[in-house]
Amino acid sequence: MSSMPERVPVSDSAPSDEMLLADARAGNERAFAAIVDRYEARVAATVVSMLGPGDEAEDVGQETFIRLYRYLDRYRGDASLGTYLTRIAMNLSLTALRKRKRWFSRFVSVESTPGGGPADGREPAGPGLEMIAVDSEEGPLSRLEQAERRHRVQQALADLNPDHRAVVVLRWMDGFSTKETAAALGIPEGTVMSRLSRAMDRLAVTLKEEYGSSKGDHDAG
Amino acid sequence: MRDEERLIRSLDGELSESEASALRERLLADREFAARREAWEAVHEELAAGRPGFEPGFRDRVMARVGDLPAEDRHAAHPDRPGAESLYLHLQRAFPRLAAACLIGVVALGIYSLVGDAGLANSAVEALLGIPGETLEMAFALGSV
Repeated sequence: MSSMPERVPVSDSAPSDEMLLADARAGNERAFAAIVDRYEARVAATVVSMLGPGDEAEDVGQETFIRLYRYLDRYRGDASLGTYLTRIAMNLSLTALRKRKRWFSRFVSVESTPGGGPADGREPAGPGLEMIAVDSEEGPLSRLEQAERRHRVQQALADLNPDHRAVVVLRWMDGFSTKETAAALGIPEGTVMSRLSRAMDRLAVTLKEEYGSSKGDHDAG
Repeated sequence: MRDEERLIRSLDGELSESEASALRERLLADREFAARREAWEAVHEELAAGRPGFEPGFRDRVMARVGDLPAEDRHAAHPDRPGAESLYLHLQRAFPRLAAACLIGVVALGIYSLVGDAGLANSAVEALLGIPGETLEMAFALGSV
């Protein structure tokens, strides 16, 4: 297991996932709302990292929870609820990316999307910072820095091939192990390792460039 | 263990003491590898710090959509309620039984056809389909006429 938590930490007094699920199955919508609260950040990490910030990511995030709600009776607890939701979110994100790619190939010529487009499997980065949530306890400067950091990460992730991006998101942002990532994506563990290695080398270059340009902007300002 | 796997396991904090020691030696011996490890660590840290979120109010927007779901979908989520089981669930349960019954029927029919009646008389299926009872010998005899 990677260094990031598999499950969202739950305090001793908070109801367990199993209790919330049982209540939600019995028709208690407040229990379902508590599940959404508990796993919103995790689902956001998956869908926004895969799709970039914007309406599409919001829709896919909502749809992830709606799928869970509609098929509550199908969840048997074989995987943790977080893993289950992440798999739904990843599958929906990959479907959205395929649709986006089809749309691009139909309506947008490759020449019009320099630096990344349907031809190389990459999509343009999302519209910007408007989707980025900020921690209200932080100061304005810290919030700005955090927003910039998230923006840089989103830009760098958008520059990756979707197959490589999916591996990075599951391994480093969702805390899946190599084995779990392989199972979720239906690929061998060796492929997860090789994709992750290539993605890390690529991200190292992109983030360095992003950081350099960001620092340049600050210095100029 | 390959260098990349060692680096990944190092970032996961999963290296044993001996593996960590081997990695330290490798880093001291190869400056290029050390630079690569440093870059990966920076990426890992940046990814962890750059986890994105939804706009505030996401939970309320999801619950509004739950409220807008048609009654059938809302019931499907709660099988404990009376009359809540959807057609889908009924079909899901009925299908394996139906498949098993069909398989048994096919096997029984096959056995009957093979051993039930090797003589002249029509098998039940042939009689049902109106196929005349012929043996290979009769077919050869007809052919030689």
